[in-house]
Formats: sequence, structure tokens, C-alpha cells
Amino acid sequence: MPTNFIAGDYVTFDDSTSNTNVNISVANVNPELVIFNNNSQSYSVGGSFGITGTAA
Amino acid sequence: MTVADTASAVIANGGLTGAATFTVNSLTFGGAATFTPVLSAPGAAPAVATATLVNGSGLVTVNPSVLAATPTWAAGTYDLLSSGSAPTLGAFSLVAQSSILKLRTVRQSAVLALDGNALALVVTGGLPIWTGADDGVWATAPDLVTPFHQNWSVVNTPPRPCPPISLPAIM
Repeated sequence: MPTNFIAGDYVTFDDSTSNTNVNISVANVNPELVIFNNNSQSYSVGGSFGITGTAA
Repeated sequence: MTVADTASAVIANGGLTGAATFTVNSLTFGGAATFTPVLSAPGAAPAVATATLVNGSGLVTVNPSVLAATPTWAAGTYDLLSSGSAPTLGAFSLVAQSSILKLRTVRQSAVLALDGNALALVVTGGLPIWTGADDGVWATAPDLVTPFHQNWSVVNTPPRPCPPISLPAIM
């Protein structure tokens, strides 16, 4: 089920998507926890903003 | 084994680096006590197993935690305390949701329930996994309701269903 990201979320990046380009272009994002659980997919995280907070 | 009638009397298994089952032939809660099960994954062996369980008059506070190496709670049913017969659910009280470490309370909730002859913790609610399906932009929404760069999905593994309740036949 599609959902938003909200501040403090625990987020996971895995192999279940075909879109592995992550664009942080609106503002900094502040997750509590970031998990990269990827084996076959290579992710690119970019944009004019970044990851802040405890997960940075 | 008897656990004394005080909240400072604690029964636990494993330790944060392990979640092995603590097995005891007979377990008696003398009254109010604290039970701190350490859990690994839904469907795993119970934290504590006993053939005979006796509860005193006080509520036993349940303060569960997940293994230190496990970053989040997966949705599902975690058996906490199995017994030769079904425990009395009302003899146990779960700590406040906000006190359960690593439970993402905005998206997840946890309740005590019976899973056959086991006291169980049922965790519902999934955590976001990147899809990039909307526009590939990672941005912060003001809330969970209004769609906003929905590049995430949640998968909520439903807990195991409870057995059906037998009702008397209507004559």
C-alpha cells in the first residue's frame, strides 16, 4: 500500500523496486533509521538536500 | 520457580544478544512482577515455556524488547509465555506503547493476546519500504493521510488468526 514518508520514520531500501534513484530535492529528510537491505539493486541517493538527524 | 510479589521482581530470557527460550517446569507469579521477554521474530519459539503457570493477585507487567541486532519490530505474533494451558490474559499488563523500544508508534501498535496456550504480543502495522513509484522524490509529508510524494509502501503482515469460537446451538 503506498504511503508517505514522515519525519522519524524507519525506512528500508531493498531489492523490490526498479526505481533506485532517490532524489532529495524538496528539503532535508530526517528519518530515525535507514536500512539498506539491497543485494541485487544499486541505489543512488542524491539531490540538493540530504539526510539529517540520528540516521545521517 | 516463584517470582515475588513486587514489580522489581523480574523474569527474563536470553539477554539482548540472545532470545533463547527459558524453560521452567513450574512458574508462579506471586503477584505483581515484571516480565521482560526478549524476542527475535514473529512465530519464533516462546521467550519462556512452562508446564504449569500460576498467577497471584497482582498484575504482571510485560515489557517486551526485540533483539539488539534486530533494528525494528516486524508485524506478526510473538509468543511470550507458553504454558500447559492457556494463561489468563487479564493477569498481564503491557507497558505503554511509547515505552516499547523500537516500536514505531506512529505506524505500529502492539497488544497482548492469546495464541493457543501462549501469551503473545501481536504487532500490527508496517514500516515504509522505498518504491520510487510516484516520482522518485524523498520528501517529508506533514502527515500520513494526504498523499505526498508517495514513493514508499507498507506491508502489514497480518497476525495469525485466532481459532474460531464455538457458540452454543440455537434451538
